[in-house]
Amino acid sequence: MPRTRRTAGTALAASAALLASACTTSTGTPGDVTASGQDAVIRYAVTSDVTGFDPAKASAATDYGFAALAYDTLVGRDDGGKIVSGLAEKWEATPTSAVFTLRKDLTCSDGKPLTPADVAASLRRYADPATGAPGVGLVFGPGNKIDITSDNTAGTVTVKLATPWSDLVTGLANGPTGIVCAPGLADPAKLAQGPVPGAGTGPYVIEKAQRGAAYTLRLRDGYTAFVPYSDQPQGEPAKTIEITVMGNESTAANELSTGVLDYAAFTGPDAARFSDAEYTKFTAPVLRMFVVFNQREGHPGADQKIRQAVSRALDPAAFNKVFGGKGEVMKSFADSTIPCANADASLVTPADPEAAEKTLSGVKLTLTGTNGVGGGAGNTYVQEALRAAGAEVTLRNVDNATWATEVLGGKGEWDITVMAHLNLSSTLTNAAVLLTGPPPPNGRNFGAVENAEFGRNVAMAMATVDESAKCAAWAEAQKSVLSRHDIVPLSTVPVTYVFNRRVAGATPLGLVDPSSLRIVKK
Amino acid sequence: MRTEDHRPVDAQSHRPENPAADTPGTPVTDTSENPATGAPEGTAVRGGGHPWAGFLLRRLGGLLAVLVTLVVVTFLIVQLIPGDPARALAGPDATPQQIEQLRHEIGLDRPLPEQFASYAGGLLGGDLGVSFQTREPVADVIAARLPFTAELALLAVVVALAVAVPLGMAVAVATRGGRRPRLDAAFTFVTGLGGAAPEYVLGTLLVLVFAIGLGVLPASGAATLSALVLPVTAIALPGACVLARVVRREAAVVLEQDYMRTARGRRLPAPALYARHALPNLLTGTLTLGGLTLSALLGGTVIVESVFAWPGMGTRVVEAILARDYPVIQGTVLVLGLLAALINMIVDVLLGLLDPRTLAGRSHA
Repeated sequence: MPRTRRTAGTALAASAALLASACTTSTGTPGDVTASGQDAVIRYAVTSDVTGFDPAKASAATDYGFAALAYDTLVGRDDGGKIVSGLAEKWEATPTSAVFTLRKDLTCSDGKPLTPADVAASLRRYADPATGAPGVGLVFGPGNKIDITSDNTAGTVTVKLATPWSDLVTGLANGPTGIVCAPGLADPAKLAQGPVPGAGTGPYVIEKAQRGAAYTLRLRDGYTAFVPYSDQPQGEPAKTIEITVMGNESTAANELSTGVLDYAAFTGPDAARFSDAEYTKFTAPVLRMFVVFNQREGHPGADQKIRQAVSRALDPAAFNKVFGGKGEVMKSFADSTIPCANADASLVTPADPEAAEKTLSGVKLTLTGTNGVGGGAGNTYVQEALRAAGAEVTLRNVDNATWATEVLGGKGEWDITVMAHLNLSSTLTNAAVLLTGPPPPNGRNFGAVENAEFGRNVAMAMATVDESAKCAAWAEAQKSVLSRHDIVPLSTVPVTYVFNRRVAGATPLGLVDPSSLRIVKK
Repeated sequence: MRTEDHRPVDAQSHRPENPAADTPGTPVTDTSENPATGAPEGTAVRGGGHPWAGFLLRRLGGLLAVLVTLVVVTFLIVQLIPGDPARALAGPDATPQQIEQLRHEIGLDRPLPEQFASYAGGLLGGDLGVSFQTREPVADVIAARLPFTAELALLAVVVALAVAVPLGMAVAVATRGGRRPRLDAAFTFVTGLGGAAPEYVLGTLLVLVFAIGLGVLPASGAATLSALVLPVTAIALPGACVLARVVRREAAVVLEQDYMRTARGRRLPAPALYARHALPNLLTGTLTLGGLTLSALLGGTVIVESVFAWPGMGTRVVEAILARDYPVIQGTVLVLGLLAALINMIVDVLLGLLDPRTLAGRSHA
């Protein structure tokens, strides 16, 4: 393999693929499309190619971006987790059901009407285990029994669940639940590979695709179902969107500074090349970093005292500085952009290296972490901090796929890891499913955490649609993982979005929704 | 001018010069001369037979061996990369059940011999398989990417040769017999620096000056002809520097040969002297190096592709490795390996045309 030598060097680019330009929902306000030619084009870069065009199978940030442009969801999610309209103009929810009333004027990308029956068919296909949609458990609850019906006369779609899952409406704002019209459902293989005429429901259709290089999308005539985000910039939606795949952030920065691109996202130092005077910059968390222990018998992490000592040995603020200090020091397994995330600093174990040393001295730990985030600099910090506290730490800094296999898949020997959590659905549940239930190969609880109180409180949070009751249950849940030291919160790794003055976009929950991009100045 | 005037004076003079062979005490490892027959060029092959027939047979046999080895080794080597393709493919939110379902869909739950049989069977039918990650046929992936890399690599090698050969020869002529020592030093310094400059530094500098500073050339992309200038320059420059040094060294040796002295004595005009008498004798090393450079560049100009967002093979292979996309890794390595073998063969044919005695090489392919 002549190129394995180079993989280390390009691991950062690959991590950027993981990091950049994620988005969870759909679209912005109505606007007249009157401009033409160059003026009506928005150009931006993505750091990795799309892995597939079937929204249900979206697994990477770039996939989510394309899904948001081509397939609309029933609802959108705004700052603070507020649900706003999408294809549905009204909705009512209980912990076990939701009824969505659709807008009247909906069409598929071939101009045919989009009916409630079409929407229900698309959702049934998404929920079907045979489809293999990765986030389905986060939308309907893991292993839940789901019943989806429609009423064309009333214009409604109803989702019923056997066991409560109050994230249902929130989940239906996730990009992968984007509604696919009948031609796409009829040919899922083709849907995965590229545009299927008439399959789309979103504002844009893919007009030209050069895999791995560039894509051109065109705004549909007469499309009006934009999501009304609170920070939606006024202006025209682009008639044409040109997306270029640029694995190297410096290249994207070059093109942004020469005016070829209108917008790009940076996880590395290139964001600093753009002055506030000429560009609009917006920084948001993209990865949530926290320590998870292997709590299986025979591993040091099975002992709560060791976990506490590790918490004391680590300083999240110092960890944040490893990545440039622009992230947020976390107080849970999620940051403050995620609704109901813990904000109480007193629940977090304060750094106390001296106390840590008493317990950790001579303890042998294998730290397995991904080098996909900043080359694994965060892992090195954890290793050094634990070493300073007397532990003997063996660091295995491996690439993302190896880390995911060994740690998340339970196929390797490890004691401690720095979890790099993407949280594409921006919910606490997205992380909680990693700390409850059976360990691999039967479940996703990769550290084999046994925290009954946490599980109980998560179930309570999922059993109420009352926002304050839900957050109260989540508060108890997070308190229990922090007091048992099942996790050690570290910090977020941020992404900086840089827009030139011509283009702006909404950033619901800290993520740019590409369908909210507007030309604000010609 | 008579025909024989154009030809080297004797067989000895036409020997490709190996700089190492000039070192006192180093045996001349030339395989081309046949001391038993002292046969003139073109017939110096043991065992009679047509020189080209044996040569081509050997090379084709070698090519077949390379092909079989590549198929087996690439299949086995991807299995050695740690990390589960199904997990890498399924994304961060997949459940274990979905990962197993995916493993079944891409056929990785079958026994290894069965997977190999299916892969090899597909190859015999010209099917390179389907990408795990994007579900595109691997042949399409290569067809989409290879032309971009080939364009870059070929142009870079052509530019490198076009710069290196005249420059190296000119410097060799100008500094012959220890003349112009300053030029000699400057040439050595500049080409040494250029040859050692990493492509990404050159690429970044070129972008900084010509795209961002002067704004005369595009900073990235492959859409226009002008977009070729910077990446080709970034790749060609170090190659040109190294090649120029080789040409200069070989030319310096050739220029001191008796046949050159004889040719000069006949008062041949400079173009005829250098192009017809010196050039063929110094091209051996240059062409060999050029061919190797081309093979290496086809394998991936990863960094330059990355700097210029050039949609070539290198970046795609790295993506495939990171995603554990076995079919794409296998397919690209196979195609690139074959191309490298073909380029080497073409270089050997060219060398055979220039100096037929190389056809009888002792070391069979």
